[in-house]
Amino acid sequence: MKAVRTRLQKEWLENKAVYVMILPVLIYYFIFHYMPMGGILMAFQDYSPNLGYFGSKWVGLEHFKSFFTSYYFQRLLVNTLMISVKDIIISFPMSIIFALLLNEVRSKAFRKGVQTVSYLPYFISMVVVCGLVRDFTEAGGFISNMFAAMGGPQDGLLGNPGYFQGILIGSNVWQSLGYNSIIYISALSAIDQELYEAARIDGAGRWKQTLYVTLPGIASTIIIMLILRVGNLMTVNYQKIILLYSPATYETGDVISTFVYRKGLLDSSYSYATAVGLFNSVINLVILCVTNWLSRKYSETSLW
Amino acid sequence: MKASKLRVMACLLSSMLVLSLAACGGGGTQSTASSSGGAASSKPASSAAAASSEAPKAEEGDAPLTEITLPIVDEPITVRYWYPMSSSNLGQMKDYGDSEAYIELAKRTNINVEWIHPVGGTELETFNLLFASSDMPDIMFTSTEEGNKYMYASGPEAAVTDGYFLDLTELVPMYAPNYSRLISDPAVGKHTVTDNSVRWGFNLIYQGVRQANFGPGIRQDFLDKAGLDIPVTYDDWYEVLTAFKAMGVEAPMYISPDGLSVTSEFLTGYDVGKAFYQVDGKVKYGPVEDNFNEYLEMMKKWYAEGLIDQSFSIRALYIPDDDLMLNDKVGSCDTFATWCGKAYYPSRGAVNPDFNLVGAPIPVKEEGQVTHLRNPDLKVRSTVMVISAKTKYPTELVQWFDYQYSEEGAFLMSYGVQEGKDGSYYIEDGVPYWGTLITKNPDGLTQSEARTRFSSFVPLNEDYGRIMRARTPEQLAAHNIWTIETSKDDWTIPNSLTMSADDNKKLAGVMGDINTYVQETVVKMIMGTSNTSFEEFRKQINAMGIQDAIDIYQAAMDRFANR
Repeated sequence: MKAVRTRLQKEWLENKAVYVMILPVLIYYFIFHYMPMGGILMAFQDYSPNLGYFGSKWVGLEHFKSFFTSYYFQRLLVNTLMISVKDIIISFPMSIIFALLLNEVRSKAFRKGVQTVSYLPYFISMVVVCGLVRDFTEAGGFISNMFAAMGGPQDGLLGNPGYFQGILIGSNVWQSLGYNSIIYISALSAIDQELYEAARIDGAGRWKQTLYVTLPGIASTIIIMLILRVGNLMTVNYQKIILLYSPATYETGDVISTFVYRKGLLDSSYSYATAVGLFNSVINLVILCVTNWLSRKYSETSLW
Repeated sequence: MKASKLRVMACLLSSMLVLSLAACGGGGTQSTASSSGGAASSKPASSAAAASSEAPKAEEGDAPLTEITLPIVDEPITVRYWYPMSSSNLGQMKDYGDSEAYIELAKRTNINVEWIHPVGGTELETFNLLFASSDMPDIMFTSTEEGNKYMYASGPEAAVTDGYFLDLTELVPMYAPNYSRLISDPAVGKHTVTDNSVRWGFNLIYQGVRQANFGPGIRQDFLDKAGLDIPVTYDDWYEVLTAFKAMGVEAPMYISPDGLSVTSEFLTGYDVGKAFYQVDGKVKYGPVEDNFNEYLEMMKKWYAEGLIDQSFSIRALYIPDDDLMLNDKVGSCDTFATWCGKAYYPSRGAVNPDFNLVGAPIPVKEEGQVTHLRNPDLKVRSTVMVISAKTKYPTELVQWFDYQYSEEGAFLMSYGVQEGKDGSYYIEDGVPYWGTLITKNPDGLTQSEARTRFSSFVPLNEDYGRIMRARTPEQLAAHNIWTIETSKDDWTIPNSLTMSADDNKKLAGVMGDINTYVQETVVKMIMGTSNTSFEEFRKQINAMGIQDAIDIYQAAMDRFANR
């Protein structure tokens, strides 16, 4: 016991500055990420702000039941998964490919230029991005006209349920391609140049180098990023959906988070909305654990 | 091997960064929960107790005030007022406090107002959050209008018992002599309380009755060019819209994004309403009525032929935006009387010098048919200003409101302070008129902007004559054409119906899903992208429990009739 205490004391004296430095981060996490979790209680209550957590009536799982039996449950779940899975399949590999291609560019000025240009859309406000998307894809918009000329719908793309997810994911790619590739570019720069030299001596061309040196070099990064992305499977970018969807496209565009927004903030059904949100988070957590377990089992790389 | 370990570590560290970002995103719903949870600590102050504990300003103690003495308070006080305000009325003003009428009101009463205008598009959201925050403004704008509700989810009476709204049942007779006089007329008073006679706010009241000021509008200059008359029947409309289309008008008819017209103007010719309405006291819900399909079929045909705005479903508003309107892209749309004629849109920059938007009658199946729904004629509005139960100045604010209902106060708010033909008002033969400062502003403000700047946009006790007397012939004609003898408003459900907290909760549960279903299915049926038949549509609405909602409305109607 005493030994532990002296060890702690020593540790504290030696690394005082480090502990003080990490303190704000801990406080931040506690205040903004742990305290709000208390709000989950609402999901099991008939919450009313004036009665508070202690005065509101407990209703158990009633809100969950009514969500699971709701007319829209299936559609919300399917839309959330479809949008998310499509987004992973399309935009996840795109940023890797983009990073690999940039890596092959030898002119430094050109590479920096392309990188900067590709980050830019990420920093445009979501509202502005959605304004642009609307202008291009409403009836008479530039992209709508292009599709119409190729035999697509004549009355615009955005109001058409069949095109909604495509528009959403396409604009996601445009917006975040460059930004998402940053982490791969930094991983690429950490690969030992000697490995390339050795590969060249062995007679490997550009393609073989990519295949046997570059990709294995960034494999662990890719896997961790994939676990993180899959762990967020049920989290879709709802601000963007809210700005783009309309009753005509609810069929393919309405997801769990937009439903929570309408229920909670517009209809003030706080408890119901919290229950739906909690369901969403729990599924997310389960998926994260499963992916992590799979990854540890098959690739030795995992989050924990 | 060691190098690869390091690399993994580096990855882990950088991914921690990403993880923390992701956690921010994921925490969204929870942090909302906590922000509303924070309010839980604020106790529901019993409003009656709060009121009686305040020392009344009136010297005579128990006797009700007979008039408001100015200033209301000796030392200036400042209160906060939550009020959604469209930027098309505010113009260049920072907030309502720049309005000359409110500046003068503050001088006279010694009560200053700090205005809180929510950002356009987030009004409802911020309104709902007021109830979850511990920091409620002293005064709030509310509305019980169907489809445009700003109300505590469990209804006004619950808002009083839950300790949000100040209970005015006792305070108004004591401290509001002018308002009391106005509501002593049962036809008015009936609309201003709940079924249990709880008074929860100050209703906006018109002096006289306001005629319908919103309805179908059509471009007269397009009609002239096509050589056609103003359409009366649905067949006429079809002919006119087809002609507009042939002339190259992009959207011959602009309709509300829900595919239905705002106050059922385009449905009422089929003897059906867009949502709840009542026939001789019996409540009905439009979308499950037989005739609703006739409307859908017509719109479907018109949409397919390109007569209806092809992007209607993704538009933001029930009225066209400036780009569509000013560039001759719209041939007809719902509009306000104020926006009719050759003044409003041209002053905003219409490119066509002949621009002339005029009112069109409510369409019917055959000439002379009587219709029953439209923008209703009003004496009492569903806009109600409420005082927070937690305000420090309950009696002072009741008097502040009451002063605005007095003859002097109402005149100030309706006409402003600058007398003279080129001021904000002038008086001729005992009748007040707006001066050119408002009607023909030298700085190029639109009438709505000038009306907000030099008087107030909607006074609590509004002399609607101020607007009628400033009307151009086209604007008056619009009022008259929307209210011709055969277009009645007798199927309208009064907005002042009230329901119990339980009924409100049940209604929200049922109608939340039904509204979403109706919205998306109607839009898709009109666009021809739905494979749901009308019978299936109707069956689904019934299965979702519409009858429960109709019953709740019916009971509320019956209680209202017995007030």
